[in-house]
Amino acid sequence: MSSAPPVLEVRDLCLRFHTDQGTVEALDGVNLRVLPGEILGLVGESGCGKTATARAILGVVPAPPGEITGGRILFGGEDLLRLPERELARRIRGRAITLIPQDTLGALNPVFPLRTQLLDVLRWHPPEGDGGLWGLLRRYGRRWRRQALAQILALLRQVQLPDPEGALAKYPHEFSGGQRQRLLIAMALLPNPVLVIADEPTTALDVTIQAQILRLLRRLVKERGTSVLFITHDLGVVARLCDRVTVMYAGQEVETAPTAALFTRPAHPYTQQLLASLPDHRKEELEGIPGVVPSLIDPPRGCRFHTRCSQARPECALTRPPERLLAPGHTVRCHLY
Amino acid sequence: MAEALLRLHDVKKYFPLRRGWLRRPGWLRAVDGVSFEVQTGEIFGLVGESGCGKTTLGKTILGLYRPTAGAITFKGRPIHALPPAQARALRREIQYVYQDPGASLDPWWTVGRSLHEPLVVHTRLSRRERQARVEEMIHAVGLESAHLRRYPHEFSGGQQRRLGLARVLVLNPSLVIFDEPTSGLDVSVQATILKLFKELRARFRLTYVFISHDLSVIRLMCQRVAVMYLGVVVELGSTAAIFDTPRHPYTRALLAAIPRPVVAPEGDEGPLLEGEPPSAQQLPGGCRFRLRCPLARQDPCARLEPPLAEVAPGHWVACHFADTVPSAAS
Repeated sequence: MSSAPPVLEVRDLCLRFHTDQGTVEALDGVNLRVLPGEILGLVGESGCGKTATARAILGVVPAPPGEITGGRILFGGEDLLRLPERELARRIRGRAITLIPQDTLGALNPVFPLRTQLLDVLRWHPPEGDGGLWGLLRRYGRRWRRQALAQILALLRQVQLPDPEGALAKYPHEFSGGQRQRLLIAMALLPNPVLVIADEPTTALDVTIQAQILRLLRRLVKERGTSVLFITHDLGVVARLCDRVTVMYAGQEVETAPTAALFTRPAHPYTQQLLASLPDHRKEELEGIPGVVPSLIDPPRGCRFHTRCSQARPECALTRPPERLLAPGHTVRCHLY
Repeated sequence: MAEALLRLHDVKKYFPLRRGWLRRPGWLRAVDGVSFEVQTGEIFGLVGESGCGKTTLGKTILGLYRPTAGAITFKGRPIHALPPAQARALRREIQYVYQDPGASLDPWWTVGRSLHEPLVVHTRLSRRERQARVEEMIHAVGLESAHLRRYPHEFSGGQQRRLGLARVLVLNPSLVIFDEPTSGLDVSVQATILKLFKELRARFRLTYVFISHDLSVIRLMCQRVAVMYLGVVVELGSTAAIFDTPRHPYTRALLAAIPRPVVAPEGDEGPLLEGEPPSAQQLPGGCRFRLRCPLARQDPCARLEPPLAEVAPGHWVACHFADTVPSAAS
């Protein structure tokens, strides 16, 4: 494991949503670290808090009903939770940390051609720093526009969008889903960010297109040394793409490991059962996980998985297990270890 | 061999393309000559990417679409040519489970009423007989009688799949067509649902047609598989033949593209397809796959559409180079 300080470190992040039905304890002390230049997979089933974590990092949790009740999000030596919104919008969100969303059509503006939307990204989040009001005015000049378009075209070629020059005049609906995803990858890389958060970017795509996109994404970020927090529910995608993985269950992280170690030596009972649930033709019987994900309005105390865990002990219902180091880079939160 | 439960012969379904008033620039050939048989008691898989025509084919089998050409026979009777009354009686025996069972249940009706409805339409059972039948099925899919008084939104995704299944099973069908039965489910829920499907098939002696893009689910569940690409079957065979010795270059690329939960050495992903499927409105001449095919040549691929030919007993491939494709895929 690299000894370089992490690009992003989330410590004990707690997030609640106040709803009519009660208070949803969406995140309960989440910890994760993204190291320089690595792709960290954040895996878990629906409702486990993957996207909520991403939103908290980007500072876009709607409040109310959301409320961050504790924890720190350390990025470049600063705690993003303490940064004023103005600063966050100017220096961090969309600039140092960008997002590749799942819903490609929803992320693009349907009434502007691509050229306008891509120029706006560079205009408002220029990689070289915004330079105040004068800088912004300069970025409405002709010379800047010419340079910016050259930069945009170069990136569109890198993401292998067919006919990049022609694409600039087109509107979002004129592209296929796979092409739009390439566009959004280009858009996310345009401000030359330190960290890209990818939220299920290939879930809506066919497998042959997904394979192309994953290969492209991995190549691009490795060339540029960009770190990626890759959110997915698909363990197959994790195996193909990620360097390390953090597994989440019901608003808590349960295990973090290098990808190979997670698949060969899963330690947490939840990880083990999740892997056993994957369709595998060599097995006679499929094993699901008995029971259902608990309601987060009144979540189980201690380890939130204890209600479905076959190896649960009395202490599991009392205290959340501390983080245990099993091997270099492999940590688990379970009382069995 | 025994008479097949379902037999499709050269089934075609074209949709007219309209541009403006009365202008018909052509046809969208959604299903373009599909033939296969489904034996009683088997699970038959239809696999392919979005837009390949697998759902259109499923709906054509059910009779929701009238085929443009070709014949569909079910238990020896042609479904496409029956008078409406008989077709309706036959349709009791073929049931379709929709992709999103939550959306196919009426949100204003209790689940109990939704489950009664097919029996009201198709049978003359009394209310009490219907209730007995509905309760039997709700237990069969692992839910309880109390659930019948609830509304669809009160159920989770996995429970909604169970309800969708209970609703088709009340009619005691012999063939059930599943359209993407597990899409949108988490893997731990998917595992329990697939297990339930298998149990019910054995218990009620059902035949399943599984329409899915998820190859690992197909491999786990099906005995035979047809791989579709742009409206045609490009490869058909036993699950073992398709997955262990795929012969069509599309099947091979599709298998290579599945992200498997195994860490492979860097760059060891096998052949990846370039490009995207062409529009079904403007199909290339000759073989439909040739624009993305690593083996394609000008002759014969651009000139002739390859027919589905038997390369091994029960294993059919539509490729000019089916014999030259190395049969042992890694």
